[in-house]
Amino acid sequence: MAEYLSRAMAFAQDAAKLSVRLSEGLVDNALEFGLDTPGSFYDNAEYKLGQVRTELNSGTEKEKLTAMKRLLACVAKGHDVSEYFADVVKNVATGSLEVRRLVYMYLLRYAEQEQDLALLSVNTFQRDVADTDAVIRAMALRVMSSIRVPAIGTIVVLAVRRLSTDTSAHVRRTAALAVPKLLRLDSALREELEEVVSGMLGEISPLAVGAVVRAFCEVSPQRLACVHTHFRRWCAQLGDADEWGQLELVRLLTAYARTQFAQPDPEGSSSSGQSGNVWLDPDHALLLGAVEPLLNSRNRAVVAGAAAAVCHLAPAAQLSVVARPLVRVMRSSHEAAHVVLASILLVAQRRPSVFYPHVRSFFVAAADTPFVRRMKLHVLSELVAPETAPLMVREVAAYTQGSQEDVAVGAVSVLLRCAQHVQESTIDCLQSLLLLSSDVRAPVSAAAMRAVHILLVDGTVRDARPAQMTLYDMLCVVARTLDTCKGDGARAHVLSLVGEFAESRFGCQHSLDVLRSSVRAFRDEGEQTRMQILELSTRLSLRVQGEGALAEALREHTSFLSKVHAHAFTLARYDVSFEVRDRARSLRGLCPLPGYDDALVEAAPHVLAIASELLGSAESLVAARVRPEPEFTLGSLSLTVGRKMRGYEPLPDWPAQPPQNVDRGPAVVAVASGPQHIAVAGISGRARADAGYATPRSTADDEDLDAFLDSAEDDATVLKAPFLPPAAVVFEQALESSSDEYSDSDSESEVSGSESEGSNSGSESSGLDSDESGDHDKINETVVIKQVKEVNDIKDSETLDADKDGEETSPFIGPPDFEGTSKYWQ
Amino acid sequence: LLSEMVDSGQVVTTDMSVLRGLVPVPSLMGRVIENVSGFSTNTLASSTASHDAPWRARSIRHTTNEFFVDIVDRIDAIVDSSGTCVMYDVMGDISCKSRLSGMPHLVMTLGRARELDDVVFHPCVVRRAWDTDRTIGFVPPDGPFKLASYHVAQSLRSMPLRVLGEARCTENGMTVHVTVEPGETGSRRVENIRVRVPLDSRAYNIGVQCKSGTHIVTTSRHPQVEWTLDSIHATDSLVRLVIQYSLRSAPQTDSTDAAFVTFEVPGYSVSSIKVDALRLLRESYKLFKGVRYSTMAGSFQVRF
Repeated sequence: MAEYLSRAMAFAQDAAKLSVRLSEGLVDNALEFGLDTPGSFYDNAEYKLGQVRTELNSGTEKEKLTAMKRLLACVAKGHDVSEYFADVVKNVATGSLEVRRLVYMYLLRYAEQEQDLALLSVNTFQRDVADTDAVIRAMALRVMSSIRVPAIGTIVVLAVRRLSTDTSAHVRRTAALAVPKLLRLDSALREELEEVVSGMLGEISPLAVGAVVRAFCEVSPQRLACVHTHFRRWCAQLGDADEWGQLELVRLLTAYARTQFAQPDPEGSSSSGQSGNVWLDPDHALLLGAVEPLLNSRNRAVVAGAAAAVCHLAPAAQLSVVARPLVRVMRSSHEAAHVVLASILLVAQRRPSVFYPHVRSFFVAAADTPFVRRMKLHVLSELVAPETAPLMVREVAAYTQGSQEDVAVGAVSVLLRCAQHVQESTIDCLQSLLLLSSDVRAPVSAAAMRAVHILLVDGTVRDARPAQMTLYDMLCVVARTLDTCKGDGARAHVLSLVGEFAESRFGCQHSLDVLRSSVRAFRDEGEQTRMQILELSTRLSLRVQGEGALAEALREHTSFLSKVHAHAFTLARYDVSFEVRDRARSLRGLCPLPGYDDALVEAAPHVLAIASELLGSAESLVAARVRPEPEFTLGSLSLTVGRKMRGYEPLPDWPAQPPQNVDRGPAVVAVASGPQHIAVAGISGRARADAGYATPRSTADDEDLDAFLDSAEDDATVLKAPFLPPAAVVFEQALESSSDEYSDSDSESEVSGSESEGSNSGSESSGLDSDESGDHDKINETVVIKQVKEVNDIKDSETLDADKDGEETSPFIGPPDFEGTSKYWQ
Repeated sequence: LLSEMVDSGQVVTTDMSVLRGLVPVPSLMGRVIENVSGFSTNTLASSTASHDAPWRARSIRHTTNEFFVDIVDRIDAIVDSSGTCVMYDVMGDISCKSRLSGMPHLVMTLGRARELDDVVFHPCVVRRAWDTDRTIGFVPPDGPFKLASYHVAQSLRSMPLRVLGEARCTENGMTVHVTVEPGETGSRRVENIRVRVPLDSRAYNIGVQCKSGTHIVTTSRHPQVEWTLDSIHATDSLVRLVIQYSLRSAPQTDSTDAAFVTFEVPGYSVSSIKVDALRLLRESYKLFKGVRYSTMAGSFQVRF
């Protein structure tokens, strides 16, 4: 019994012990289970760093894993944990894939600091490169090429060479991706790498082809000759390649095509002769046919890239395929809209008609970001045409009533454009603009008055022949806004309009009243208005002394006018604003006040002499300014955009611009016109993007064009047609399409490697090329420079300093001055 | 995962299924097994992607073979204060969820496919078949994916929900009326209606009246009123929301004068796109199919 009891006791004790052990184990496990979230590694990585070394050296995979996770958590938090490098390197050859991945990450971070120790790991990599598992091979190669230790450069090249013929496409892709990295590490390896890459160009797997092309662009951007044999195959593969590879391919092929094919417009092809045109087109059409489906890609970067390619390669008549995809991308998200709108704007500037069916898509939505709003309005103003005007005027007039100020101001410029370009809508627009002039928001009313000013001065309104309104009525309406309108800019415009039309019926009857009432309120006016008052006063009093309708009308008010004039200038003399005082002084130099400036009156002949000189130069200035004024103002919008875009260029998602601007037309024109078809493009920093440019294939033997094309045609067909049936099929289709579409295409096309690149999956970018706006900018700049120069000349000769700042900051207050004075002098 | 996706600044792989093949997905199940048994289950499904369809692994097995199609139309519209549609556009997505074994080849036939323009497909779709006879032939990736997104070229403008906005100035404030009225929905209910009305930043003393639904008033720097209606039947009469508020005298800042509306109409398709047939080729098992339609508001705004 006792024995039995003791046995039971022992059993119970055992059971108790066991249960304790079990529960402890469970708790342990549970603890670890709980700890095994990534967050905890971040939280306590520092405190447990002490254990890391022992854990790394311990036998179990699990502890190593924890240790590595801790280390990487520290790395992520920005601590320097390079002291553990030696311990980590020991684990390179560990069996667990997960640990190995982490070790690799660590190596990539610190290998550059600890070059000697990193060399220890290279052996393992070399062994891994020969591993049976493709993933491990790829991973080893990737890490090996990413370790920035120059000493192992040659070893890595060997590995790349070996793996470039690997059976797995994934590995081949990694090999191709390793090439640019190696090149960056040590440019002396270029020749060897070139050899490797040219061996890889025959890549058939769609998975790897993109990487290969990228490597090719990186390694030998000069050797476009290598593309010839692969061109058709790549065209056929374009649809199958993975998305980012498609981008690379499109970019390369575009660059290639720009050097190899004639400009798809009649002038270009006729200069090279009909035969050249016929032989060239099939491949060109093939490429276009291959690029077009990409416009329907789900990847927005690809869409944008393909659209850019089409824009650069296709004849203008075909551009319409681009419109819908671009609009779709624009609507997909705000971020995409941001980027794509810029390219839409460029296409719209080149060929607005393609977007006419989509005008509604560019209507500003309330949720748009300010930049998108602005760009949409720019696009809308580009799309102004008789077809779209009725729709647009209604919509845009609604914007002007909206509460968003920038939209309203932008809408005013669209209205201005409508009025200028579509005669039927001129009066509608003018009426909306006049309504706006009494808007409470100063910028809006100023913009509206400015638009009215421009419309009245440049003769648009006169041409539109308003039925129910005469110029007199209109000016009355404008002048009456002075009672309601508060904005400084708008009032200034009204006054300068009154001065402008002083000789008209309105001027004869009312200008003196306008002047009188405004001088009375002189003190309360804004700066620009005050200046305009002075100017109006000067104009009137000078005109009264001469002959003309105004002089007749004001004959009996001359003394009153001169008193008002003197009063205005006295006020201006003690004005708080430096600029107003300055302006008063300069105007006084032109038109001395009787009774005050007797000294100047004595010197009058001298002043008059100078004034007549001014007349001469001012005339040319007016000619220069009045003519391009519409262009200039609209252009200046695009000028602003241009500045924006230059500002955006450095952003990673807008890389395509600079090389494109370099790679302009001459290349194609040269190909079309004869043997010297090498465009010597300025090489910009990005060698890759210039890929296409330097050397077309027959650099060595500059024969005549036909022979050159012949040979191109021949070797391409002979080499490629047999081994890829799809290419042939597409080729035939292309032939068909080319016969009807390409032969009579009319376009000015530009040359460029268009490219775009979304540097990460979230942000899409499009690289439409900004040649148009570039040109615009240039023109505008030169215009501006010229004008500024002229202005400066005048200033110098006159030694009057008209406010230069005012000129620059408020560009549309400046012009009326000079126009006004010149008119006056006439 | 990121290291597989991006290699030295160059985007490489972004396809979900390929990535899943390369990087083992940590799962709770795996972790439990690991902790209990003590060894890792994260062995790699080695080199699964086949050559001709990189988005699908070779050996996929499911006990039930199901394929679900979800067709969602999104209406983008701008309605102005007089109730006319300034902009109206219908876009849509065909999302699928596939749980099929082996290497199935599916052919989907859509009703009224001619009305679709600008269709964007998942790379698995054979584009040629679409161009010739408007059928969608594809080898589906496993799991959920977006088969296509489309834009509907149609001139008719049916609105499942008519929303009108009107704003009036009172002597020291504003009154905003928003009315909601069921439109053509094929006698289905419109659900989850949410009307967000951003107000002027100077607004204070905001008062809201509405007969049905709930509303939330936010009075922060960007005051707004959010009005939620659970559902409206096709036969219901119109519902009205009235917001009154006063304006502080402060400089006006940028504000939007539009209401943003979201809603859902399950079971109704504005574009009347239908899945006519879904055939399974190359595999012998029986396929369970499910199709679901719905219409949603994309960016739907009402100006006032």
